[in-house]
Amino acid sequence: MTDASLDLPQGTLDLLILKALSLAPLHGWGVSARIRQISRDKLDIQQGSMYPSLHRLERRGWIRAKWGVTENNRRAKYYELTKRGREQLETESDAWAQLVAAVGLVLKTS
Amino acid sequence: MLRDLFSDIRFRLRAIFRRGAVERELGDELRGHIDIETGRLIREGVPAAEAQRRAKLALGGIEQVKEATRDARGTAAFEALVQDVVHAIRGLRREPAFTAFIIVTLALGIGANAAMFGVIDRLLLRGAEHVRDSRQVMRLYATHRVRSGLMETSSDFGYITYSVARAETDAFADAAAYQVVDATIGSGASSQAIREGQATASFFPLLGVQPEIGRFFSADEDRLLGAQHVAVLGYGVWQRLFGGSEGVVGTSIQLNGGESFVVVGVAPKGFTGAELATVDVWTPLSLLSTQMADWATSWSWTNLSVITRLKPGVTPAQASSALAATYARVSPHGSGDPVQLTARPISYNEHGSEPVEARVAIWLVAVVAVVLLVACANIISLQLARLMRRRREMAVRVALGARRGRLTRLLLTEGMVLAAGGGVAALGVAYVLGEFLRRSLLAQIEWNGPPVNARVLLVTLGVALATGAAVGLMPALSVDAADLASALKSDARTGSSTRSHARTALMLAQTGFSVVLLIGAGLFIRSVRNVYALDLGVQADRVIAVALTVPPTPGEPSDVRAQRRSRFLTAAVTRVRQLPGIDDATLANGLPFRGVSGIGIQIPGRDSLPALRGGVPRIQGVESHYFATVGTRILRGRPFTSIDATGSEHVAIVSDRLARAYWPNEDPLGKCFVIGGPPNPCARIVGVAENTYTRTINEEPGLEFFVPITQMPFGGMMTLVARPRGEPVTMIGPVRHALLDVDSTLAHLNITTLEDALDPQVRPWKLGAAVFALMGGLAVLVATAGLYSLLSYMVTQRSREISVRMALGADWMRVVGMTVRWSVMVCAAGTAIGVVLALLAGPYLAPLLFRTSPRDPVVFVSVAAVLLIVSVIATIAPAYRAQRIDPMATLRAE
Repeated sequence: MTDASLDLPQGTLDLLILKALSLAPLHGWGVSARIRQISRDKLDIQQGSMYPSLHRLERRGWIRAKWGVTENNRRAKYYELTKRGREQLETESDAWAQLVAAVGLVLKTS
Repeated sequence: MLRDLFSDIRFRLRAIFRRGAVERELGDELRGHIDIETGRLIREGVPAAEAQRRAKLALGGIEQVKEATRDARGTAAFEALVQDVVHAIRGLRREPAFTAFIIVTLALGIGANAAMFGVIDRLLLRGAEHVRDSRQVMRLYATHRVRSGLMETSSDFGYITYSVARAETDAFADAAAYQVVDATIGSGASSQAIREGQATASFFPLLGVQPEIGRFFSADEDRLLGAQHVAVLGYGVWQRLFGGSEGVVGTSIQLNGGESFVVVGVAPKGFTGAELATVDVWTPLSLLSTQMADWATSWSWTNLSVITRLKPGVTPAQASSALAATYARVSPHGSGDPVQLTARPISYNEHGSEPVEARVAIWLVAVVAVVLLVACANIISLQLARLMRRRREMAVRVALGARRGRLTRLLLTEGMVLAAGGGVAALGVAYVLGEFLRRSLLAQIEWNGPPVNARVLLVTLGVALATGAAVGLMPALSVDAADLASALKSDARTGSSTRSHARTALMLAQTGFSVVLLIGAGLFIRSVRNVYALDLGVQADRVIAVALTVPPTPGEPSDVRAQRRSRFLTAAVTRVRQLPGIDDATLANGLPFRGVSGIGIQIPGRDSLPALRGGVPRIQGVESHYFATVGTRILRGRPFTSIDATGSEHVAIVSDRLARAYWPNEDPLGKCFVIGGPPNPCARIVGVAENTYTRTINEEPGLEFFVPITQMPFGGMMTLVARPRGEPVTMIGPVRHALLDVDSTLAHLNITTLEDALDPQVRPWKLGAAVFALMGGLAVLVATAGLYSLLSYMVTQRSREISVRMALGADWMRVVGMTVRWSVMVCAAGTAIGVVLALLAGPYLAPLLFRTSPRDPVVFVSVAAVLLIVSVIATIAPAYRAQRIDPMATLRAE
């Protein structure tokens, strides 16, 4: 397992969670699994650090929590993106892209 | 952005108030996560137990995740605070006596400070209400040198000075004159005593006050010799007597038993002119101009206060010198007797300095602040003791990972909780104490609001916060790791030497301050007693007096009115004199402490007279019975007779002091002097009376002379004075009935003893005595309780050592001897420190006392004795308890 998760700044993790939830509601375990899947195993977030971020995002109203049932008939807390969360995802994605481009520009110039 | 904030708050509120549910949910969520991960691993072929272990590891430790999530919730700090508060409350509830004592002490200390702030706020900080830009408003004072080289300042002037000030347009934008007198409103049975302010029309625009309804009087209504009978009601009277109805404007009121005035307006709430005492109605000053032919131009009349508003850009110094220059030119007092005219802020009293009440109040603020400090020192000491009792609890917390900052926060929270409890109770104390001070000691001031208003509330809050911080932090700062470590080893040693030095210092401070406060109380009490022991020259405690007015009937010619008045007064005095239970009765125009006018005199053949301390001599118009009724002795010559009253020769009786000052080395009998100035006749002196106090007890007595009533150069209020055989108060009713028999239409008769008139002057000392005694008593109580608990703690601390010694056969007295010796020595030292402090503060307190030395030995010795007795008692009790320690039980418990 790559431990890249330890170096992720907080804002980035929030962004990844929002993206993961943009397709469908997931519970905490599911979010970390989805991120791993989409990044083709390159990003393996420390599972424990999901929950503080999830709760923080819930506090800011960007995601919404609901208790539901998993396919194994277990009770789990599902999170889904709110409208504001969707807006936030777009804004943050744009900002991230710009940041990456700018940093790349700087690094390319020798 | 706002929506984010809104949901943020909602989330946090839920986290706070439904904490249990939120925690449970989190637990479920995390366990669910582990289950899912476990399931996945099992499906991959990992054995069940191993799968669960790995799943837990992957999550990273449930407790840590929970903690991190809680932090992310954003309520961690608040939750910790709530936890601390709950814990603190629980801990305090376990020790109810300790907690109750502290809260009561804090309530009294903080409450007293808040109450005194309320008083100071009104007397000094806020000043008169409804005065626009009050720093630009000045009161005029005249300072002149008297024979002994002292400067004497007064603020009594005549109308002529007001005219001079008005004309000084370079310095002043405006000037006004006023006086406040006792009056009555209404007639017959429903009449009441009120305070009437007589002011020039310029008074209101100068102060910048706006009427509540209606208007103030115009310059036209305040014309000399043509003033109108109009009146402006005070807000309080408007509410009380007219129900606050706007229809009062235009109606008529009766003042002083029959003079009709038309109400033209009502003053706003809290307006008391340029001073702080209540004024119930305002009338034009110029109505007085008809009393005497030269009322407006005479330099001899000195009854009015003159206030001015500085022109913008002009300093008080510039204004004073400009005015003084003009004054020196036009005033007849100029020659040989330089009068310095100054303008000073209107909050000062008639002698040009801050009023005695304000100065006493400042001292009292210092007093209550000191008491609060004493209380805090005591509480800190108690908290330290309690902390040592809890050292094991603290040590365990440290072992479990609590940082020192966390412990400090815990203790600070405790301090805040105590202070909060004390602060809330303090509001009640402030209210009660404030009401007490207002009613009994400062009754004449317009308070304009409840004792606990917004400003007082703010101050209470601030003081409570500061107290809580002090009481919480001080013990916390002295907790350190070394003590905790040793505590875990169940070692019962007393604290390190630094802490017991602190304890000693605290005890010294408490004892010292208590001593200082009690000495202050003793000195004030002596002052009060000295006031009452003063030989006033009149027996104020033996006579009762009432002002009698005969209002004119409209259309009545003045000589008819004069005759009617004279008939009534004679009938009244005769009737009262005949009452059983009355030894004697008389009439007087001008009575000590109830209003005596001053008037200049001249002696034929002399260019100038020696200036006397106190200003111009006071004149009283009296009858033959006067001296016997009030108890003023005639030293030489004779009192007036009926011949003097009806005869054509002008006679006078002078005081001993005047006789010595103006006719030194000669017999004044037979000499004569001119009252006022030519062309008045020369009055021949027929007697010399003992010196009396006429206005204040601070003055030098004997600045008066007497003439027969019929020879008074001006009219004025006639006062009936009666001397009851027994207790004066018992005759007030019969005298009232007798007077109503003579004339049933009389307005409200305010019959009081002469001593009552003196009362307002005694109040500052009574105020000082009451508060110092209260606070001193509280300080002693607090210090004693502190000493007691401290010693109990010390004995408990050393119980192991004591037990060992006693088991080895030592006598308990010897064993606790060291503790007892420490206590007695500290109290004696503290008393000595207090005595020294009081001696040092003496010169500052001296001006506030009355005929009492600030080093009065009786007071000092009694206070020291009380303190020592109390401290011995407080010491013996715990020491006695030490005797009852069971050595074996104590040693076994260790």
